[in-house]
Amino acid sequence: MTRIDGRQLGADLALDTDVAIVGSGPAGASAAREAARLGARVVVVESGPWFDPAEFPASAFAAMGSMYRAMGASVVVGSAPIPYLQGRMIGGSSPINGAICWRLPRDVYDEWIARDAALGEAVPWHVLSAATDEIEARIGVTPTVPAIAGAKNLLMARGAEALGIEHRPIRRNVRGCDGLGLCLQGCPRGRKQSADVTLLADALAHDATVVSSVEAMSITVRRGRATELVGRAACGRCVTVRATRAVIVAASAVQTPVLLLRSKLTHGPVGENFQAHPGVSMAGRFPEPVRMWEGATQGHEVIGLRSEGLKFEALGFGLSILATRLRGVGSKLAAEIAEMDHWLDWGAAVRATARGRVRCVRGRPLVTYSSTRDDIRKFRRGLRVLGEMMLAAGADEVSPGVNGFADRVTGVAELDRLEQSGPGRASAFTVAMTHMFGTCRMGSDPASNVVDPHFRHHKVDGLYVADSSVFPSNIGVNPQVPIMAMAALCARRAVGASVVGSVIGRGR
Amino acid sequence: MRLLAVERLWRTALLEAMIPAPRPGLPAMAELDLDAFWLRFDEIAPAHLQLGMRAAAWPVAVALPLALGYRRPLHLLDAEQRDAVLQRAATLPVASSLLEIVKLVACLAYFDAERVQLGVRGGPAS
Repeated sequence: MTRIDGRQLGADLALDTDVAIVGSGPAGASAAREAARLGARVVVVESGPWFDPAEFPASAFAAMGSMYRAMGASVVVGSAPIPYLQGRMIGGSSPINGAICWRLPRDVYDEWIARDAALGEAVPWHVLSAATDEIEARIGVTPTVPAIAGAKNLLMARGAEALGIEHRPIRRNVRGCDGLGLCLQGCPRGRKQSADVTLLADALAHDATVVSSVEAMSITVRRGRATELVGRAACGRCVTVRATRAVIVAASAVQTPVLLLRSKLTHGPVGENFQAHPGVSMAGRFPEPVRMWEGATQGHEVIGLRSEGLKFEALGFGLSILATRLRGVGSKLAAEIAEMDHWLDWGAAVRATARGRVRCVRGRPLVTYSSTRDDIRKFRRGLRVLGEMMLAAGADEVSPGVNGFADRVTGVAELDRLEQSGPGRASAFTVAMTHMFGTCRMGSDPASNVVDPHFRHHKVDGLYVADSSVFPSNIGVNPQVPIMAMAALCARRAVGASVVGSVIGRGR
Repeated sequence: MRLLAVERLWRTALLEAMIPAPRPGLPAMAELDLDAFWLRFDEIAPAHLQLGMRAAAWPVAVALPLALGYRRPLHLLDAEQRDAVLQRAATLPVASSLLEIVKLVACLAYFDAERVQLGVRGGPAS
């Protein structure tokens, strides 16, 4: 077990390994675990630092400053700027996400196979399911129990039940969660079973090396084969990792294409086909205190409209982010803050049809993305359903946060008007983006895909992509478990093992 | 990005105007020491957020007070006048967009204070 801190290198560092992996999030950690368990020497390079739960910050601002990429204020540009969130630490975004776990929906998998049948042969459903089972067991996926749900989650259940829409407690990767509600700034009690404390810990136990605070700058290709990673440590030193068997890139759907482009690996639609789940939220005021900050951060979801491309979740922001959703400025905002224990915020995640692009500009990502008319229609539909659920759950007013529309809504008729004739421009909506996909898409055709159905780069031997960049589409649900499962299969390919013959049952 | 000394006064005045005292037990922004917050903000905030704050300062903290007849920028106005400026700004297309940036930064600064967190939660996080 070796941990190297790139902030404290006294000299340039050169490492030799079988498999070099860029990124330590759900994809990188899972790939590292699988490769290490199969006996490969593994080095993981992560741009962010290592945090232990005891070091997690106490406020949202402090967390955003130290654990999020660009303070959580990275934006896509297009018809409206949309912030997107990415973690920048060991474990990637998994230590600061809502811990929501979904298996890859079968209908999404079938869409992928319909697009490219070879994918079904390379990634058979039963193999993916088995990998998912094993990962879910390791990271402790379990439904949220009422005792720790808190009002925000229980009220969502009540609202959905009243409207007759299918709902359920969210399945989360936690062990012993006591509903502290601090998932988004890292669980200070270490109850979240994020990639760093599970999959990456397993890799370390199998003698992997993890190098933190080192940004992978380029991949070296010699005679058509990826042989080396070159990185820059936070202290300024150069880090080189020579890999005899494979370089696996697992740096996210934004960072992975940028690394390829920076390395002049421009084959195929690198950075194109960017897809995501933009989300809108509805704030609601309840007559009794509901204390949004208490209870499981995200413990209940409404799934009955998933076929429409909409999924609803209770949200659990820190106080500062909840306050930004309150109305007004100055004395009006202060009056709302005085009663912020009466406010809840629920979100609608949209399986959007828009496709954007990630470019590399001066070595950094520039993401362009414009919501389609259909996506904007889904924003309105999502807000209408959220508002109706809130009113059905007992809210006395809701606030859609839509420019050009009433900020105080008390009846279903107004919500219907929002859905039917609300604003048609993206900039009218308060949108945030999570879950990004597709920028190094997998598929048989080298002209329209970056990697083949076996996760291999179409033109460079020994180069694999393991993260959601390879997903042929967005999936409409929270992707961390499907990412972990797919990355495990990628690692098996990379070390030359059979995808079907897994290491299940060999322990951690 | 180096700010003029007077720009630092303007941006602090904007934050103080954004969150006056909500209720007994919750301090006004003006009662908080923002020096440490600004130091960290200047260090870590992405350029577009820093630019947004700077872009908000000139029209909202300077031009608008003058246009409303106060003859002084925001940081030299009393609390009631500051609030009047912000309420007016919230009705103007461009200024209201800039105020959203100020509101985000103000909320981050306000709830970064431990005494505010304790005041809202009603006790230390358990």
